[in-house]
Amino acid sequence: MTRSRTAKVLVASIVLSTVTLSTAYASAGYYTVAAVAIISGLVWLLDHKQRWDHLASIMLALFTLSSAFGYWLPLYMPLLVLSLTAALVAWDLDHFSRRMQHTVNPEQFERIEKQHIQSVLLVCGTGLLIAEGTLLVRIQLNFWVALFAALLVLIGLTRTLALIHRGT
Amino acid sequence: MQRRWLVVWLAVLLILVGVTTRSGALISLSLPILIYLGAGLFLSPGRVDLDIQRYQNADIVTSGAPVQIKLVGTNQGQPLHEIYIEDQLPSGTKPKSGRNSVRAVLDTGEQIDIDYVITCQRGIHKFKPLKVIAGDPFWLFPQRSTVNVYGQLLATPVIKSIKSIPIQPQQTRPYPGPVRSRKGGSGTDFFGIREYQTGDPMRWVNWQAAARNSEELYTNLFERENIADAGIIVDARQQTDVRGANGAEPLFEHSISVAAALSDAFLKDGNRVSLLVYGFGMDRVFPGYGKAQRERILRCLAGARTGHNYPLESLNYLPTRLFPARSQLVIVSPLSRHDAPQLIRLQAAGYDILIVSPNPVAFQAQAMAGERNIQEAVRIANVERNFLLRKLYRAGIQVIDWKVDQPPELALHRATNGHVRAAQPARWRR
Repeated sequence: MTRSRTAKVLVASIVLSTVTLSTAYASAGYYTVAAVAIISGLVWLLDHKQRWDHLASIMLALFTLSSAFGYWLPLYMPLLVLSLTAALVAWDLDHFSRRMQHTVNPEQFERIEKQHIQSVLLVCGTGLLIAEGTLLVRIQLNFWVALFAALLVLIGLTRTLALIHRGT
Repeated sequence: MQRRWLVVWLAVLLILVGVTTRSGALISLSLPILIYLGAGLFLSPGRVDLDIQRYQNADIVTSGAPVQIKLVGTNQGQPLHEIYIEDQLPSGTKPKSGRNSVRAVLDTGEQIDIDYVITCQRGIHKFKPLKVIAGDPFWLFPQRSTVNVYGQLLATPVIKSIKSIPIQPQQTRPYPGPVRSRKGGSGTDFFGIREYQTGDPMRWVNWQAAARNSEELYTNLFERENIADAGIIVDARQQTDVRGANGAEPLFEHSISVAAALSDAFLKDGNRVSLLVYGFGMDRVFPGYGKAQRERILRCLAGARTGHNYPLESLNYLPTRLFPARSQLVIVSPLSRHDAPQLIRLQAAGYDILIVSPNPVAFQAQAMAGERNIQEAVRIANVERNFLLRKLYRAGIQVIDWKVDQPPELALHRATNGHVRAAQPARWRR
């Protein structure tokens, strides 16, 4: 592994995220949105060279909201999930490369980079597979079960947030 | 915003909108983010248990000399996916080569080294606790902590070697040395004659005096050369210190440098030297000889700093008991206009005083060159300073007005003509 390995995976993730999002919009006839997605992707690629602060975070939020918005149009959901996951990988690697900017020990760098890329690809890949799998599952819930599920989700989310707070 | 909150809020937003609109697809969309977040939380390290040892190639160095520092850390706890360790440098030190931080993956029992070289200014530099950040692989939940690893560096001033400065205090020690004692005995310079006593060497007999008196023989006396007591007083009062131009070292650093050079020269001559740093507090080194004393003085000078202390604003409280009576005092001070009476009183108490005064007017004029009306201000300040110096000259105190851009040796020898004259104590004057 070399420093360029992170860059390669990062660029590939940005390209994949952009291509899938723009394809999803373009295939439904929303060419303007597809063009905006491509431009956003190009700006993100440029950021990889220019190192603008917070741009990766803005891009992740943009790509996530664009994917969510695509649900109502309606667009092809597996492509949107893939776009969001690739954007997440790109966002993570962007922060990773910034963090590792001053690491001079090549052995340590190689080790951290290898472990990080493996971890992020494994976790995001698993997330992608599960998300794509759940898109195929269709369950009909009555109102009370849905309400119970919603409450469960709310409690789960608040507990998770509390756990995160405590962890810090 | 911390980066983990972005993914948390994106996931919460997708789930809430999905639940509200009863859309399973939107909840599916949140799954990659949730799994990413969950993995970060699950893999975040618990307690970080690091054993870190610090090694330095020297604890005491000369200011500006490179010091190699090595930190060896061993992970005694659970494996750490990513850890960042930074040795926070104390102020007054500068990294020269290598890096004072490291980012690494550490398995249990694994070691990591931080190896770097720094240079430091004069002073006592205590290292702060090490900054340690351990995180999950995605750095979503980094845990910050500090590890205390004792480390201290003592940077002594650079000694600019100067030639011996012959002093001649009124009182010397009884041991042979380089200072003329104004007493007859064995030496090289003729002092006088006395009647011959049994046991006097024949080559000391003054045959011309004996020829004039047929009944008596006379013996030549030579001026005995002994070692002397030299007390060095460094003025560390804040009101006498002057800051240089941007980033330049203050005048006090020059005082320290010349004090180190003088103490080194006196000790090399075999004299007994003591030191007092007067101002912020009263740091002292009691009289002593040789290399050990040199080290003591350098250590004291290393830690010297200016500061404000109301009782010590004037020289009224100079602890003269530290210095043997009628010994040589060398005061290194830019001088303030209220100092003359105290210095004259010190002279009257029987001390031989030599003042090495780094010129604050010339120093600050250099720093403020180019500013408006600076020439008039310098002229007025010079008049005031000359008035003060003349007052001291008239009291029999020898003052060396040292412009710090000149080598101290040049100023010392030009002013003293290679000899510090013995001043008449003021109490003998009318």
